[in-house]
Amino acid sequence: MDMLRAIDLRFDYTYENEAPQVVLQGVDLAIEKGSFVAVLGHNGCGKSTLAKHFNALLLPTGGQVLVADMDTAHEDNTYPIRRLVGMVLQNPDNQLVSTIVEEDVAFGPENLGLPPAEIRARVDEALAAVDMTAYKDHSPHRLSGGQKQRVAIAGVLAMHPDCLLLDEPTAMLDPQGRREVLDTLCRLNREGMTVVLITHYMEEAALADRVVVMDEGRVVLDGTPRQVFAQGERLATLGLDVPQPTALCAALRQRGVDIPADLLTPEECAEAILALIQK
Amino acid sequence: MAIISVDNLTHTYGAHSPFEKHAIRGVTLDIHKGELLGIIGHTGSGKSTFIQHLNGLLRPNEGRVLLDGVDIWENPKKIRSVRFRVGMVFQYPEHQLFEDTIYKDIAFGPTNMGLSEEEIDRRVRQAAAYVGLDESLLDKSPFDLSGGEKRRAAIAGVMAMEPEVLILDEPTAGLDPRGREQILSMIQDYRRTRGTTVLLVTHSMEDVARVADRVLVMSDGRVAMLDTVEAVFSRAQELEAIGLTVPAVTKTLMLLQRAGVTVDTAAYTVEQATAQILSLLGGDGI
Repeated sequence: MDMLRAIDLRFDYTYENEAPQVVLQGVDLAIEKGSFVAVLGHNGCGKSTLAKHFNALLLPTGGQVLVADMDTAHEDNTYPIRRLVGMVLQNPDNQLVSTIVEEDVAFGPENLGLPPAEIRARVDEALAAVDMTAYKDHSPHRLSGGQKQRVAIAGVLAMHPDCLLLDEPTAMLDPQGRREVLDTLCRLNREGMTVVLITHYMEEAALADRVVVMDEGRVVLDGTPRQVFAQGERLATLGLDVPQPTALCAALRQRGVDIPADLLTPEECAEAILALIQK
Repeated sequence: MAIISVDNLTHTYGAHSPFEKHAIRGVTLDIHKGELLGIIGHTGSGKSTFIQHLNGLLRPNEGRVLLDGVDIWENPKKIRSVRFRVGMVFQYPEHQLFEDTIYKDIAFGPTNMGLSEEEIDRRVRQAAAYVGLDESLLDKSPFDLSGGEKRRAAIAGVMAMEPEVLILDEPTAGLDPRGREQILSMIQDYRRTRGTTVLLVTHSMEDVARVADRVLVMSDGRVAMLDTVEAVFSRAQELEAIGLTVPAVTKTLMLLQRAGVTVDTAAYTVEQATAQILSLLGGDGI
């Protein structure tokens, strides 16, 4: 079943007295329930605009967007859609509203008008899911970036969404914080959450089931990380990299070494080189 | 020759309060004139606190910072002149653009230095050229620029003060690969042309590997390592132990080494690793 679906989605920003600026020019994309999809593309390619369509923050100027078969264009669907699709943004400081971690996580469920016992249960469960229970009485501004971002994710989880949409959630984090957030996302996905991750980090995209690459408002590559990253030259023309181990394999292949083109991690790469040495 | 000497620098936030935190603990080091020094360390390692001492934004609790051999706090009333000589570009500097045109924003620093109008004009245009901003953008509002252009304009504002030392805190954060590449090559060109000493604070080992002469690794408010890029990356296991990641190709070589293959784990670029593996496989491949 499709969690998210864009059908010939078009979008342009129109300012007074100016020609409309076309951002999305016909995106067709179906994201299956339970999948982990990474979206790549250089700045200005339309990926954030696409994400905003998936929880009805923006409405198409052409085509259609369906979230769990609900059309985002119908106003009655707006709130159900936003409960199903939770969004996490780049800067954790812009998303935390309270002075205490657990109160921050409770903000969403409180607004749903749930009974106090239910709110309590959801907050505890959400904090446990991001491994932040020990910090529930802390003040968010004293947490590290990775911890803050996990609290922001907990705030979304407490709404019991089916899908998490994350727009460069690790851009402002250090390597440790990035690892914490990615570990959390991988675990949530294993437990059944649909995860859509917009990122500039190729190593993060390599963890997904599927990588979608956008350029000039269109989907230009779509496949498993191995299929996509094996196309290093194409990605370079789109202003993107491949993970370093993949680049290493490509350089070796260019010099005539018979090593697979689709290796993503240092572990895979080292193993393949060992096999060649022992041959 | 040292342009900045740091002597037993110590800084404690909230001293004698329940929130007392030792951010810097007795750091002593020299920064060489004209070098590009990469500074890495995870969040909370003290690197931001450290750099804020170098142009007098923070005053040491103990120890001294010498600029060209003179204690920058020798005459506290003159600390402003230190800030003109040691320029600081903060994280997300584009958030600090505030004038109604890019020209005025870049001119803000030189204007405060009391320079003549002709000199200000020369510096604004030169700084814009260094960061690759087209002259036609100078009369535009910062709101009309893309994120990458705004960041370059903000960096130009500090370059226009023609500091002897330029400190950049995470100048590539949040940019896409192409944007990162542009900023890094711009910094390298600037330094080559002017011979300015550059300090680059970053989380990205790959960035450090590409541009730095030496690397300062901070951990827990102390200097964990200060050495050439090769020497620092050859201590990959120690880097991992203090919460830093090594470039993925270095990691690949470490794994080979662990499997008993003789390799030099100081390699940190794809080119270096490729050369090593080719020689392992006996020359020009198989």
